[in-house]
Amino acid sequence: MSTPPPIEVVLYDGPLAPARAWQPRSAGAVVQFEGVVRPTEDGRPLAGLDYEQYEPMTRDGLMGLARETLDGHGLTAIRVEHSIGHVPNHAVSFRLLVASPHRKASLAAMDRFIDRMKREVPLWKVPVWAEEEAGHGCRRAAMRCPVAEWPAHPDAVVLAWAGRCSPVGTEQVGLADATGRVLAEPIAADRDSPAHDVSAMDGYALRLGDFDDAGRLPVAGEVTTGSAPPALPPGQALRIFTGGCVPAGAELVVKREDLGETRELIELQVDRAALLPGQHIRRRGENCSAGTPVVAAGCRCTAAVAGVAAGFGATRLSVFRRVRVGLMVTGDELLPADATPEPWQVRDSNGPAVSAMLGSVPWIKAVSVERGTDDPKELTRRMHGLLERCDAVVTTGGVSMGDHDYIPAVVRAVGGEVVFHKLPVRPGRPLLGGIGPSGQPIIALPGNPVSAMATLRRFGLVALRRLAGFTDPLPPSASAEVEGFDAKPLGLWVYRLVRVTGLGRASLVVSRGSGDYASAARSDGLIEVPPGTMDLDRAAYYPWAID
Amino acid sequence: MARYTVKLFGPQARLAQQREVAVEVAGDTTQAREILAAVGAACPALVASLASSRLAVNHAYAPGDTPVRPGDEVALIGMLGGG
Repeated sequence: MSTPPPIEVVLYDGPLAPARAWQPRSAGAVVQFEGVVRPTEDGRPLAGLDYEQYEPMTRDGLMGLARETLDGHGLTAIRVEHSIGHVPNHAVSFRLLVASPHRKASLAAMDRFIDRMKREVPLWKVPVWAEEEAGHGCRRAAMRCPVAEWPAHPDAVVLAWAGRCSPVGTEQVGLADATGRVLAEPIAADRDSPAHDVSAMDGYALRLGDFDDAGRLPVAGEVTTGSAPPALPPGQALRIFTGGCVPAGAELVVKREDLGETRELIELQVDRAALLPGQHIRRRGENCSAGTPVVAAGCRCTAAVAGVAAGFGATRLSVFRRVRVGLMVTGDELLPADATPEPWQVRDSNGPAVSAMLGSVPWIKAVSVERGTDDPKELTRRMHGLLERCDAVVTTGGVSMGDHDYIPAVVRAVGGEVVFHKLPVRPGRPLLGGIGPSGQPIIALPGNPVSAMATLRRFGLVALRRLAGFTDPLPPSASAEVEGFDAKPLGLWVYRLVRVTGLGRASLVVSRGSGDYASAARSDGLIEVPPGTMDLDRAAYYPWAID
Repeated sequence: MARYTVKLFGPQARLAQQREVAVEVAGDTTQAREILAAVGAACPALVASLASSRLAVNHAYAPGDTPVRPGDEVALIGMLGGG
């Protein structure tokens, strides 16, 4: 990780993206504060806050204050992030990071900075009341201050949406059925690990002072694995193997490589001064003591977790039940895959693609698929049914600007709420995030096949992971070196199809656009290209396969 | 009489229902405190918030005795709410 500059001030248009790693060199303390937009003010529901700046003074004001704080408190570094424009409730609008050699300076600096910023820096917030939100868009657009920044990452908007959903219920399952599921309760150690002092080497357990002047010591016998250890007789050694329980009275284990040995006698082959008490002994409770949580709730039950659970006697685990996802593909032009379409019709590819993407995920229950025509009454009826039977609903199509794009109206007709509609991303700008009347996420994907897959993988999954009980709803990404990147910079977050070409390496897949599903079939996943990117060596990589 | 345009932001812009307020003050040069008082006279909705407000002239905070000339950029900085 490269060390950040000592002073950074960044203004974003809209909510802040989740914090990224920030670790100034030589800091002994790093403190981070985040300001989150509250859902109410004086008991009145808020839709969010509009932040304004006085462009010629705001950034300079923050820079000056940051510099004074850095100098005045002896900080190593300071970074200020602040939103301008609309920030929905639950989203982060302000982040302050300070680093210093010692804790007290950072804590004092943080408090002082925020107090002064609120008094001195030209930044304003105006509440946007929930009941005014419908008519607010035009007014907000007209009064918005210009910001010379690229759009903020939509993760913040998506996280705020997902944060309104609650994880599904829990159930107890046997260890064999827990693989891939999300833990609802931590796994705790039922005893110390190791449960006894054990040898870390094949060798001999002994007392250092028992060697004679020539470095020789008789061997009394052996510590048998799986049996209680015998007592160590005075003036003798016991043969022991890796993992064997160290007998009472033994000070250390000398490894076989450092000894000459016969069945009855060992003889030191190394300088006695090199031997230290405690050597090659793993102490009881060194890994963890009884009662310590060893795997946190909100994690997937991987093979390693299953092993740990078994090791600590947790044969039944509390896990979140599988998320039931209902899928509705929409469009009069769609036919089943086994039909023979006319030129003006298409076979539905989104249904099978989304089913395949989600159906193999161990924390998702079989996806039920329905096909809806472009009839708002029928779509509303189907949506009602899916919301009754499922924890989440995914739709494809019907969210763009066409006359038959009914999904936003359908979400409202079933008593739901459109939380966001359209993100600064390509492909997939029309993505809609809604909340059903019982708090179910409604993930309305665009109809173009590549857009649908990309937005489900990158953003829809956030809500599904939240439902599934993951501690971090953001899907994990890897980073990949990208070969042959070439693109004109766009003011959007761009997702490009890539094929993995080696360990941590990927190359772009040629695609003719979001309708070119043949290109998606040649890809292994997506890379994320930040706005304004002209050149790119590495990028976040999201494989199609979901854990 | 010289005419000045004072920029408004945030809650004060909402209170005034405008982004700028125009004021007139006698003389070719005036002081920041006279413009502040003139803002209150021109826009009574802002009077209550002026005691805790400052003017910025040409992008710098201006104490009350700061001279202001026609053509200077004047902004009302009050009811701040960063964070």
